[in-house]
Amino acid sequence: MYSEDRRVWNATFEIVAKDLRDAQQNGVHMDDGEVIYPIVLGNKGDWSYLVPWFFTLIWNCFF
Amino acid sequence: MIYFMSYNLNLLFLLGKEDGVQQVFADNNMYYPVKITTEEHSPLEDFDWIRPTDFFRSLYKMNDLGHVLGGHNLKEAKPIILDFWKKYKDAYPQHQLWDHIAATGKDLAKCLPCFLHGDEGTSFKKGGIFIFSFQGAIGFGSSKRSKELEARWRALGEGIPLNFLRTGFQTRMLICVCPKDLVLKIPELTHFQVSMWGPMQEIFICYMHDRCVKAPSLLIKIKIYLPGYVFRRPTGVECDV
Repeated sequence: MYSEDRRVWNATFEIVAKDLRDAQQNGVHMDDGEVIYPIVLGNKGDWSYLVPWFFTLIWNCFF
Repeated sequence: MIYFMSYNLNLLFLLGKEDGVQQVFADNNMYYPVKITTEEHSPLEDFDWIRPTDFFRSLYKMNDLGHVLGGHNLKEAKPIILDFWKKYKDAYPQHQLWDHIAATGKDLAKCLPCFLHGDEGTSFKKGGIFIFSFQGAIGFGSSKRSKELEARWRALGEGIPLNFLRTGFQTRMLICVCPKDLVLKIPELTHFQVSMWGPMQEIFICYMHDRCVKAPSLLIKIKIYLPGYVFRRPTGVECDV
């Protein structure tokens, strides 16, 4: 899965980010005409799931 | 952190009895009405996930936006949201958001601040599983006494409420789950289902299809179901579920 195939990891973030970008720019339209705009301010959580990404970044930066 | 249900319950799922459990939930109207999207393109072919936009629509429709607005509905939360953005602008005056707001003329009271939350927990046979969710940036507060003190002394109203008074079940909205590795530590087990009690407001159930045994490059099929009983409350009642 995502530890074995980085495309899975990247694609997962891609689809979520695309949906949230659309929500921020165009809004979420409700049935009664109300529109809300979710604004994502950051990503939080523990480090473990970011570790493969982190090591890739370090590798690309220094080697 | 993911807590597994009992061994017997897991055994029950392994025996393929999960369909009956789902049927009971469905018969009793215990699923939260959230649209689940299935991806069609590689490498996420057949991957089930919940679009945050669909979750927001369901929260609004069910009068549950308080779960991401510190317990207030959209109307009540207007001064709180505006106050949040005022403080946020003071803290981050160079943020690109302000240019976007100025260019589009959006009403800041309709802009709901939120965070993405990624967490890697433990699944079957100590395998890793990634859980992606979102939550509101405006929380329920950090102390039950703070509101009393605020009312009495007109104090403590200066900060942005943190989110310590509610559990993850009530404040984090699931987007997707994804196993870290192919969970095939039992080779003879070609099809099994795992039910987990996640750090969110729902039970979600993963199906591991037998095809991943034959073609490990294919994505494991994940099915998500959302029993909504944690959210369930009569309309007009306080958000203390």
